Order: sequence, then structure tokens, then C-alpha cells
Amino acid sequence: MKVRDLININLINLNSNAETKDEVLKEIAKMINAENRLNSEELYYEKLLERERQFSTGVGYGIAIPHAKTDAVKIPTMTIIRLKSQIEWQSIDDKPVSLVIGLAVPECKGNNIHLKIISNLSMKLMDDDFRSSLKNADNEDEILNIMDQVSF
Amino acid sequence: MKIVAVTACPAGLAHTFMAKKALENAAKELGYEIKVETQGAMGIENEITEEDIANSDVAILAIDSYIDKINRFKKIPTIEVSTKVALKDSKALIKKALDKITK
Repeated sequence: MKVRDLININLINLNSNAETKDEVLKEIAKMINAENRLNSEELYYEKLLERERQFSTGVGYGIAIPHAKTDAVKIPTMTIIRLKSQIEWQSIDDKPVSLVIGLAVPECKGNNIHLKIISNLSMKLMDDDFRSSLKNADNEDEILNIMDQVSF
Repeated sequence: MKIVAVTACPAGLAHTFMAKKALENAAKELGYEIKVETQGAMGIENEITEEDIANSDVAILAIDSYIDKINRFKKIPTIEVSTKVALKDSKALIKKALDKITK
């Protein structure tokens, strides 16, 4: 499994008009469902909200990683949304968010390769150059090329 | 100076691994050796052994939820915080952990 099994051009929006956290979460659920990768868009969205209520997924550096691990997910998926206007996300560093990486993972146990890719991505996000390349990419293809770095 | 650490978050997808990287980066910058175990969606990875603990000065638990085998760390000074604390300022966290030894 490669990172491109988890993400494709239709799962990237570099010009989102979303203006609230809620709108972004809805957009993520809608995008993934449009690719027929969810069992239930509504339940997945509810699970995203539930996770945000535990504590914010705003990890600092202008990035949020809303995610849910649930039976509502059919196929493990990554989405990338870049926001036209920054959104308040109750982040660790109190800074607003401009880049959102939405994750959808089916309920499962064991050492799955998609989990390995997602954990790689999480670690990569601590790298300044990786973050800025995602923030500055000109188009969806460039995003996919950058994301190839988290493959195995 | 040698540090052992465990990171764990509710879904075990993002914060667990970001906190691991944050701790590793900060330890490297400060010139300390660190081994970080993750208890994420894939279970325990890079597990800290009894031997690791015996050879370490302090343990940092950056955890948001219950972790397995927490009793291992009874033998050395231990600091417990959330993953958020590790993500926000791992250098400060490591310094705080070191204070535990010297006191």
C-alpha cells in the first residue's frame, strides 16, 4: 500500500471557502463520501465532532488533523484542505488554522500498513520543510508528490 | 543523561506520533539520549524494556489515556503530562523532567 491508495486529487481542495471548523469537518466527510470510501457520511462526521470534543486536533503551526477511527469508514483515507481564510481551531499554540489534514480509518486491530503511513505522516508534520511544502504547493499533483514522502 | 518516554493519545493516529517526534527532536537539540515508545493504533511500538529503564535517569509519560504496562516506570523518577504538553514545548518538558532527578 502506498500513500496514493489513501489520497487522490479528488480528496484535495486547495481553495476551500469554509469559514468555520464545523464547515471544514462537513467538507471532509462529504469529500470522502463522494469517493465512496465511507459506510456512513453522517456517522463519520459525528465521530469527527466527538474527537474534537475530547480535545482540539489543532496541533499548532497552523495545522489541524481532524480524524476518526470508526466502522463508518470503509476505506482508509487522507484528505487535504487548504483554507482561503484562516479558522480558529483552539490549537495548542492558539494560532488559527490554514491547512487541514482529515483522516478516516476503519475500526480495526493490528499492524496495518495504512496506520503505519498515517503515523509516518504525523511524524513528518513536525518537520518545518515538509509543512511549508504542503502550505506552498501550487496544485494537487504537487501535494501528491510531497505526500509520496510518507510512503514505504 | 538518558530518558525513556511513552506517548499515547485517544485514537493513536496523530498526537502519539507527533509527540514522539517532538520529544526526539528536543532531546537531540539538548544533547540527551531518548527512547520513545508509542502506544497508538498499532499497539506498542519501540517498546521500552526493563533494561532500558534500568539504564535511564528519568521517564516522561506524554499520555492522554490509560497506557499498558505503566508499572514499569515505578523504579525511576517519572513525569506524567498530556501529549499536548510534549507537542507545545518538548524542550521545556525535558528540562522539567531533569529537575525531578536533581531534586
